Amino acid sequence: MFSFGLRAKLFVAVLPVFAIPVVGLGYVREMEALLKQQQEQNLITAARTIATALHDRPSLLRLRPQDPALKKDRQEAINAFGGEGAAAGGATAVAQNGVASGGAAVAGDASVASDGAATDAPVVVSPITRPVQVPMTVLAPDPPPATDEVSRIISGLNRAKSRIWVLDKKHQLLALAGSLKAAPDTDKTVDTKPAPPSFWERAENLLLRPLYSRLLTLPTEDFDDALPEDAITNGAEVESALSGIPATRRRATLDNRAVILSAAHPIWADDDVVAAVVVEETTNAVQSFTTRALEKLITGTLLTFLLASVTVLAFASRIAGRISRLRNEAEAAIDANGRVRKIVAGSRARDEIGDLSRSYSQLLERLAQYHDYLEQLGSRLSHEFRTPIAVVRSSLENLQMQGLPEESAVYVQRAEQGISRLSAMLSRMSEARRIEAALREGERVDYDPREVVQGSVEGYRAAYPGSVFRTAPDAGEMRISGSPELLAQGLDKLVANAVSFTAEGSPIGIALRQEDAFAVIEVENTGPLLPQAHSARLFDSMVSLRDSQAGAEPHLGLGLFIVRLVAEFHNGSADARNRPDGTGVIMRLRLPLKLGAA
Amino acid sequence: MAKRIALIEDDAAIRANYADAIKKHGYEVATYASRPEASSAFKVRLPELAIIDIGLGQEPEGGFTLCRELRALSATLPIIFLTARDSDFDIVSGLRLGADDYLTKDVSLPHLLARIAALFRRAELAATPAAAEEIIERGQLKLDMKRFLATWNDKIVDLTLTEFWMVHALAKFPGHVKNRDQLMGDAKIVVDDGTITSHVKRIRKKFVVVDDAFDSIDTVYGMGYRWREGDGQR
Repeated sequence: MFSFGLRAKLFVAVLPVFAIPVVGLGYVREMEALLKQQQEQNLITAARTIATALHDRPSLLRLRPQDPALKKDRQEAINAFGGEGAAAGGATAVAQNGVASGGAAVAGDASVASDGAATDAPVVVSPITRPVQVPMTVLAPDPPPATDEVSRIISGLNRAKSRIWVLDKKHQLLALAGSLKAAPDTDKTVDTKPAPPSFWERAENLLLRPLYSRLLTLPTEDFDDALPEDAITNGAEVESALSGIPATRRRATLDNRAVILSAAHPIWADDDVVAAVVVEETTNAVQSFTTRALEKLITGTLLTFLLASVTVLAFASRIAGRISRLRNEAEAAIDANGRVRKIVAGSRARDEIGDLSRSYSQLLERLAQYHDYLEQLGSRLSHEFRTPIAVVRSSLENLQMQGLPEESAVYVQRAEQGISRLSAMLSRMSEARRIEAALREGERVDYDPREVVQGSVEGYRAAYPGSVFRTAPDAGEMRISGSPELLAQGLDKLVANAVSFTAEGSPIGIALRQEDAFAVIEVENTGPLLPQAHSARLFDSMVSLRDSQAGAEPHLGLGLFIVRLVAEFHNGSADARNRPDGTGVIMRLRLPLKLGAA
Repeated sequence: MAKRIALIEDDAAIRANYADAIKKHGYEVATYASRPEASSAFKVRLPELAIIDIGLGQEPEGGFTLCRELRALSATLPIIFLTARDSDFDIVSGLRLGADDYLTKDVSLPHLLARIAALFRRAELAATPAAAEEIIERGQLKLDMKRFLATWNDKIVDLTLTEFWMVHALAKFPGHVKNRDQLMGDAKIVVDDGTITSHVKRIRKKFVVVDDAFDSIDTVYGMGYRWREGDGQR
């Protein structure tokens, strides 16, 4: 019944909620792009600031910085790179041309321009990419103080989680400051005492985290932050900056765990680019923001969907339940016999279903009224007609008493016959009502229907001498609860009905037998068949399926109605069907046996 | 001097017809169309028999009220209800108020006149001892055909005239089945089968009032009724 009922339909109606994350995703992407742009701008700004600080101060750039941080970073870079850097020792990587032998400081490295012709700045940068090739002899002594200047400046301008390096036109690293990773100790102090996770957080962690880890990647701080040679020598932004145009570039870290955004800005000395400053940052901040936003979006969507589904399901169940209750009641409101019951489901609700229920009730009430009217029409007519009939009858009788002439007497006699028939008709009409009244009094006794049926059949043989009554073999003893008089009356009606349809001399069968827990009385006659369409209505009041025949006794359709009343009084039922061989009709009474009777 | 009969009936045609017929049989008739009219007349002079319709003009139960008033004025005055109503409820109500008979308007004038005569006879002879030959005795049942009095074990069974005639019809030939038509003829009524059934039911009840063990009226299903002779056959 509910394969695709209201519930399923409304559930489908909730599905558009899943459009929320799609829209939200677009929004988050937009935000991300915006943030990245912003980050680039910031980096360029930072680079420019540093460059500005270094403009026109070529002296600062002559010397290679020597601060420990730089050393350390470079060391790491070297370690990361070759793994053999350790052999080179603390200061290995740095060689200063001026201090060293003055000739070729580093052999065979194309990227390290050793010819001073290209630049007047005698700056030598350690060949990070080939640390092993750096001879121990080129070890730098303590750096002159001037080199610290650049480091100080860039350190002073440095931002958290960003790395700044300065390189000259020959791609030689002049200074390096900052780290792409957050300082471990500061992180710890912040995170030492995280608030204990709330219930929701725990639930979220438990239920959704696996999903998120599948769908989204949280940026990690655990990445390789080495500064590859390639970045220094071939970076597009570096080239661009060295040719005088600030630029940005995005590249993946060597281990592909993070993306590094770098902005390069030229450092001018007079009108020449003497060096470039590069500011680097990971995009982790933006990415983690994006990821967080997406997580929130998904969580929110799931919650919304869950809530909406539960609400809609509950709502749909309620509506469907109410409607099906109403339907069931409406179906049961008119029973097989056309009796009308009242509908109670939702009759007090103030919504459309309540309206439906009420209009159903009204409809049924009108139907019931009409039904009552029909059922009472007979007795009402009989009552209302009785007075005028009495007038006619008493007038006729007075006339007769006056000693009329012969020819007049005939007419009076005919008039009396007519009025008698009319009167009999009216009596029959009120009979059903009287029987209903008798049923209401409801005097019940336990009796054996065999006595009633046998006695009645004797009576019918006397009453209808033109008919042949056949009875079935005697059934066993049985007891039913009800009124034997009423049963006899009902049987009278059935037999009268059967006799009226049967040609003289044809047999009428009357059988009483026990079927399961029922006493079944069948009256069977040959004759015209029942029209199938109306057989259910046959036992209703004022329903007659006879062809009207002129001069025949009038039929008001009350006889079988009385049969039904009698059957109902016995908690049984009455029905009619055609004989299987199509030669006649079987009328049947099914009366439940008294329980516990022998 | 002619007996005086009060006829209370709101339908003018019926009133006139009945009055004419009754007059023709030598009675004096006073007709009234409404209850107040009749009540005030009864306060001046009581009739010797009253025929009352239940629905009187505006008062659907006016006849019942009038019957109560009349009964209060006289305990013995014969009262007949003559009405279009034929429900058992109305019949029982009417009889409970002390009416001697309850007839529907189906009754024919000769039947009505026979009742009037019988009721007068019963009223006249109430005081005189019964002549032996007028009494039918069937076991515990005694029917005094002159005074229309039935007794069971010498206790009076309060039957209406119609009921008395029905009992008489049954008890006259014990063991013989009387069908409904025969009973109607003997009881001088014309009613339908259902009414006969309720009459018999009422008669049984009235006998049961004086004797719990009464079961002398047999129903022969599909045929009619029969008076069972003697006791303790079953």
